[in-house]
Amino acid sequence: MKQDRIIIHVDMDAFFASVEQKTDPSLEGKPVMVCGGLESRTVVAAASYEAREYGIHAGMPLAVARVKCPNGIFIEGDPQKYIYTSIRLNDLYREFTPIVEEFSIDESFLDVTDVAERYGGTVEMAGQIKSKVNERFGLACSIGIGPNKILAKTASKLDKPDGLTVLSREDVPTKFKTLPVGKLYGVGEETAKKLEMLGVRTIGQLADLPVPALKKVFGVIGELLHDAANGIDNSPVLTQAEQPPPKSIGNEYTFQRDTRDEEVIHSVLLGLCSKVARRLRKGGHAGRTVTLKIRFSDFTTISRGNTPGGCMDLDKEIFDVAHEILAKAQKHKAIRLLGVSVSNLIHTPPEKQRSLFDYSFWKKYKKVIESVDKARDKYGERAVVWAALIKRERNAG
Amino acid sequence: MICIAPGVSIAGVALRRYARCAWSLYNGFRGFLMKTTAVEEVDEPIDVMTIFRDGAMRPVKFKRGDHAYKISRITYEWVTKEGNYPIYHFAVMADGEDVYEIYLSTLTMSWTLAKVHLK
Repeated sequence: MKQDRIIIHVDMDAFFASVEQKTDPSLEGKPVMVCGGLESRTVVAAASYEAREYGIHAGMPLAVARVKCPNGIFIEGDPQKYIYTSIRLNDLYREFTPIVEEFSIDESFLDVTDVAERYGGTVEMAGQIKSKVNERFGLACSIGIGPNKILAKTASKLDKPDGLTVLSREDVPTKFKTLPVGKLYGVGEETAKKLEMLGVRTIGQLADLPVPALKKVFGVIGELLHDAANGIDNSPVLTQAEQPPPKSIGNEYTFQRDTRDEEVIHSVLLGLCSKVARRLRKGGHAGRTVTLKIRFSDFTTISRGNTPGGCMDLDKEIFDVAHEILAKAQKHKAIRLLGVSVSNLIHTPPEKQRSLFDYSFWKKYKKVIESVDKARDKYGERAVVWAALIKRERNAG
Repeated sequence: MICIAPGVSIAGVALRRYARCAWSLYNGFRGFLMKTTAVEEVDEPIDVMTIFRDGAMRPVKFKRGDHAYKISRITYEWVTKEGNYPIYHFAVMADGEDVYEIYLSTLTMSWTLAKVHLK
């Protein structure tokens, strides 16, 4: 008989806020909120458990958080610090097993099927991981153990913070299926609302619904939801090398103030296209479709794509397409947010076919960009930037 | 009970006002008890005395202006990159409870005081 897998899910507790509390110990025990910026239109990225007592949660607008918790400590986050800590945490997990999936910046899956016995069992091993995380970083994490990723991930959420919970196959009818449906991985706010309209409140009630009925309401994910609700998940723990290539690459920017200023809008668009192009080239990708997302001041959002033919990975190519979409889509309303993404990716871009007339321009342009990339690789991303972007930064003060 | 609108009594309005007032007083009291922290961005070159031992680097003292600060504790450390060059960041406690964020850029081989967490 095939042995059941043993999967561990490690979820860092209030990750960004805990890192900030370690950086400045005087913040320990206080309601700390880490935000993308301290302007009123940003959102809370992470809240310490003390802040959660006030009803603060990640994704809450900063202005609302300030009202709910006037004495809270608001800190502008330092993404590089969290990324570094996350990399080091995953290095630590790899000391226990080589099969580690970096699921997000603060969550990882570990397949410990073949190694758990070496540590005296899975629970003992999980205990050792928790101790090491605390010893090296002074941080707390919650661990869930299960025979697959869905059960392990659900388990880690059951006893937060600093918990260690096991959900075995035997626990599926008694513990897992009695949980509110919102606790199931893959069920977000919107799905939970739809399920509630169908009278589904627990995971068990979702498991009892027939697959065709779920497919009718949720489309292709209907079957996945049904399997998940029954505690069935055969997806493997994928190491970094096994991850599938990305389907699209994109960046977004929220303006500090809604704007109609064309110069500002164009320089932001250029900055976004430049970032996306650089990420494409760094990863060895090129894309055929450019999509522009615009959110206006009244929160109406439009998303328009264009596939002009040929693969793109250069700043100007992407900017030209995005700019054309912007010109057509702009409705003389102030803009709140711009987003640029490139999809339809090819992972080993072929040499582009250019018309005879513009061939020499693109050849020269590509050479310039190759030199810019070399300078950025050596001296950092700020080594060479578009002049229009420097001007915008200067104006912003 | 006197109603000022269908379903709204004077007692209900008063009770809600009292609850709101009590909540803001409670929050104010908590704020009084909790010292808040402000982070000041400095970005100032500094001199740092550093010990290199067992393959690790540990700043022990830094000089800002004329004042020398003895580092009593490294609270957090992390590494970022500027192209190929690592930047070593340290959050350190010096002169009481104040926390200073300092970093060594291996591109310029210079130390910078990045931020001060003021109490």
